[in-house]
Amino acid sequence: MNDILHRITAPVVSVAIVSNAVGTLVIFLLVGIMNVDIIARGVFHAPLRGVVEIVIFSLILIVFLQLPDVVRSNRLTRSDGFLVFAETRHPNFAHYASRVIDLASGIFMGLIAWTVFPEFVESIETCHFITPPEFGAPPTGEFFTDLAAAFARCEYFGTPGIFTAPWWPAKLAIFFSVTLCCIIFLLKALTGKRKPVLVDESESPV
Amino acid sequence: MSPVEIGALSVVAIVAMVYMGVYIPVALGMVSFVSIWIISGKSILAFNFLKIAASDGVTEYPFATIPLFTVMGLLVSRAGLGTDIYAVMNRAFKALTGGIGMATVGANAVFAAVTGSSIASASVFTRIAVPEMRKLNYNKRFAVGVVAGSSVLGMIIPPSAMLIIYSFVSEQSVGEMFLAGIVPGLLLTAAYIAWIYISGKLRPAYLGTNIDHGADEPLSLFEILDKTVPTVALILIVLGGIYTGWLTPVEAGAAGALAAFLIAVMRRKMTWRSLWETAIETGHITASILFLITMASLYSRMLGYAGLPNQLNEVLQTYNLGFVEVMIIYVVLMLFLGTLLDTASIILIVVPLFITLVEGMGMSLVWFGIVTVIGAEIGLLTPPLGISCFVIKSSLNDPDISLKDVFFGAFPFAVIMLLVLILIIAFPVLSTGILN
Repeated sequence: MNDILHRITAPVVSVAIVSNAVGTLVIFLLVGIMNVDIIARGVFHAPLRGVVEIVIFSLILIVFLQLPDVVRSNRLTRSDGFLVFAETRHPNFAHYASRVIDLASGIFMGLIAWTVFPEFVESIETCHFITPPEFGAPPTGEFFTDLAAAFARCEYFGTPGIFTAPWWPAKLAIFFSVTLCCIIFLLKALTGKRKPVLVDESESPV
Repeated sequence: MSPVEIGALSVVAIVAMVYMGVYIPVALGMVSFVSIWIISGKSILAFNFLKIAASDGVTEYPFATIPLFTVMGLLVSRAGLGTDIYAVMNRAFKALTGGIGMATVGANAVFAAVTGSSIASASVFTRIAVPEMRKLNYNKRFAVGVVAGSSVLGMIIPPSAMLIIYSFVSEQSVGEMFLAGIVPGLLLTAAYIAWIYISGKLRPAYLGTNIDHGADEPLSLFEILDKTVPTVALILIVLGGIYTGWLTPVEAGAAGALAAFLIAVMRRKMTWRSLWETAIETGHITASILFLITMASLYSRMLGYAGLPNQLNEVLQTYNLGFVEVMIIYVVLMLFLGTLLDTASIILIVVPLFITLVEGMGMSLVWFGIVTVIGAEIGLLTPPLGISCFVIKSSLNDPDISLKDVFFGAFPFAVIMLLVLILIIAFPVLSTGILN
């Protein structure tokens, strides 16, 4: 049993780390784009279009791509006082309490994944990537023309004529993230690896 | 059970679960989900609330201030600006008894204007100021107390993560909250410095015995400029940009982040590796704060659905509770929660409960935000879980100073905070005056 769990853990951990790295790149992108906009607006009087939409989109990516790694590295906000205290007196109790908490958190993340999955499916179905669209031009048979047409059909956010982006990648990021968080929590609950630790100065964000 | 009773019970359940060590966003989300289900009697409503919170929770433009100001704060710490400000301040206060303590407070206040976190301030200044004070024969409790007390300035003087979080829950403008934090932050700085000065005159033993003033090493004009110009420039870009209306708070954060990056590069404090670590750290902080905010929005919707804030308002009227009583209840509640919870969680839990009430009394929500942030921050200094004190203990690495010493040392500063808080409650103009 333990062997199987370990075999599952390794790839899950690497997916969380890779997704974290992608989210990190988005942060650099965000700082860069905003500064280009400030300079373009302040110096050349030509603000970039759609910066607000880009910012919102990148926020979704940053938060949800990095959340699994936050869970993995035990940095999700919590107050450890009671568990640390219990650890010194009743180590067994503290150990099982923290596993139960991880189990409950995993179930909660699973619930979120379950409610957002239909959202993702709906948003990607509006593009009609595979099925023919109900109205508008029929597929031409040319792959890239059809793909571009499909993207143009997608349910979008933003303001038409200024900046629009399809919703589904954001919805996918959310679904992917909460599913991964759910798996990581469940693995923590099953393996019981986590020991409660007090705030380490590099750890607590607030 | 009536919806209001379920709502009230769920607040108690959340606090109890958080005390037990359940992840705060999970406690907020799970309890709210179950409460909505019970109140409505239908699962569909609970799932819909959860779906909206998860998928639309972070789609707000001002939320971008969180990653941007976090990047800026982390880069500024890496660039060593804290050490520089401290050296200059130390020079200025050197002649006075307790001067090094005042310098620590002053340097923290300036450093706070370029970072948004008390944790950053506490760990930076523990490493620089505490060993220095110990060397000059200062009392160990005083030394750690000064660092702990002044670290809270990081979250009151803008830019501040806590002011940003409050502005989200209360739907106030981030820019206005930042400006409102300036005077209370300076007031607290002045109160700390006055306390050290008066203690030095009346009760020098509290500071230490046989205090040495240290060697006289004058700084040249060039050194002073080299150590102050980058910080002053950053403050001008960020606060100046927001105050003049030239930059939105989000843009100010981005500009500040770029400027801090350039400063770090020019100081040769930046490698590819440390840049990457800074970004990862930023991502972790952003993800955990915004996920917390997302779940807190579910909680505040649940409270509204249960009708709890309105009910609280009615209770207030039946018992004829006035402004003073309400504020006493509010501050005591925050102090109680502050014993175990971190500042962000306190703000997210109490503000949705009280905001309707405060608005109904005709009070300014900007003022209420400053009161909330300072009140919640007192908890950083109080046992059993004053986070600032833990940070100091863990970055100190000195077996001679126990956690108890840190708490004892921080206590007078927590009392001063409470006094300043009372002053700010009594005179709202201290926080709102700058906006007019």
